[in-house]
Parts: sequence; C-alpha cells; structure tokens
Amino acid sequence: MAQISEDNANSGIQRLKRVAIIGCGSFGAQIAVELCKSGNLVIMIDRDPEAFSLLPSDLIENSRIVTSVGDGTLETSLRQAGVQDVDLLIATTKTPSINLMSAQLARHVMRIPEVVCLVNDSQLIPIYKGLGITVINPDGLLMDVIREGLA
Amino acid sequence: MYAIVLGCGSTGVKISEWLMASGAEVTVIEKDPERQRFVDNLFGSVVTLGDGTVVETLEAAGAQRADLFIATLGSDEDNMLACQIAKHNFKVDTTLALSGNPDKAHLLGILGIDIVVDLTDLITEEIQRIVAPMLVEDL
Repeated sequence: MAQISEDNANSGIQRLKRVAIIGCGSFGAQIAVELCKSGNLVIMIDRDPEAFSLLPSDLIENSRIVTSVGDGTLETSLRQAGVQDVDLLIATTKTPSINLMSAQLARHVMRIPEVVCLVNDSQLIPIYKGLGITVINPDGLLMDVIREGLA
Repeated sequence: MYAIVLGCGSTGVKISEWLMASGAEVTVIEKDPERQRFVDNLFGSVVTLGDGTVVETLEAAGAQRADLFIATLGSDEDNMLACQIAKHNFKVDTTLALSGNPDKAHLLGILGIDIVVDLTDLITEEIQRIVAPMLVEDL
C-alpha cells in the first residue's frame, strides 16, 4: 500500500482516484485496464486467484492494479484488500445479488463515497437508487445501442 | 395474514406447512418445476413458479398484499435481494431471511431485513445446550 502512495505522489497529475473492483471477469478486467489508462489506481478482488490472469501483467508488476483474493461480500476481505480508503467501488461479478450485497456493504458499512453495481435487471435500478447504490444494466445499454442502430 | 415463502427446500416446506396450519394464507415461490409439482401435490396449488429475486415473480405471487415474506434460499445474497425487493418495491410489512453465514447475517440486519435467522448461531447454541451437561459430568 505504501508503494502506491509514493506512485500517487510522484505522478504529478491531479490526485489519483482509488477504485476497488469486485469480480475479475471480462467486464471487471476491462474496466480495471481503462481506469488505469486514465491514471487511477485499482484494487481488484476475486475469489478465484486464476481470474487475475485476465489482467495485463505489466499493470500488476508496477502495482497500478493490486490484486487480492477474497469474498467481496465480506467486510474482512474488503478491509484486507484496503478497500476502506477507496473513492469508488464497482461490483462486476456475474451474480446480481452478490454485486448488490457487496455494493451495500461498501456503501452503508464501510462508507465508500461512490458505489456502482452491474445488474442485468432495470427494474432493480429505482429500488437501489433509493438505497444509495448506482445500478447499471449492461444488457439494457446494449439494447439501447442496438435499437439506435436499427432506427 | 398473507405470507409468501421463498424456496421449496425442506425448511421452506416445513415453514409453509406450519403457517398454513396456523391459519395463514400462503404462497410459495420456487424456480424448479419438479419441486413445484411436489409441493403443489402436498398442499394444493400454492406454488408460483419463478425466480424470487425478480420483481415480476413477486408480483405474480401477490407480494403487494403480503404481510410477511420469508426467504429460505441457500444463498444469503439471494435472500437479501428478494427481501429488499419485497420491502422496497411491494412494501411488505415484515421480511425474514435465513442466513448460513454469521458475518452475512449481521450485514442483512444492517441492510434492513426485519428478522434475520442466523443458522450457524442457532445450531451452535443447540449443540452447546446438548453438550454442556456432558462436559459437567466429565468433571
């Protein structure tokens, strides 16, 4: 963690955001790389250590992405990974209920300022908006693009 | 009293049976058609087939008029999601979730589930109750 803070101080650009991502699937890995490219620091959490093979090894070697094996719905796992200090948490596992539990743990117990969660069910968006969680529906976005393309 | 029980596992079936015997109107939600047939044969047509973590299924089960929602699925996360939909979308008075993990049971309480039954705690207490006298005799 100390090493990241030094990188942070030496980079010279505006304060780097720290972002935690739960779930190193294709979505999570892609978001992690994009956030690194725009200068942020990423903590990636997955239950399966082999999942981290989706991440570019150079970003792990220079600690732009820190990986941590753990259960994103458990506070102990999140604290072990250093999630208490992040500015944003994004839950991207393929199980909606795990994403929502992880997101609410981060928002309401650990007080992470911004929490985003991927769920392919737009009917859940208003429920969780009321609970301080931003829900993004990837299938819904895809359908919007397809509809626009066909229009 | 109108109660919805999510999950036709052995616990869900036992709870439903007791609720019906106590005079409650009960609907059970189950996503496995085979379990649905089994329970429908047992109690008459009381099962709504579907995924209890989806708004439409709870609507089909009549969640808008339910007083009690009991989630008995094996996944704490799914029980949380179902109870939160019942609470926030359908204004069900009382939501109850079973939890197999003490850390998650604690979290479910914080997240607004009205009653959380911590199965680990429950079983540990029962074992302690039974084993404690044996330990005393040993002394």
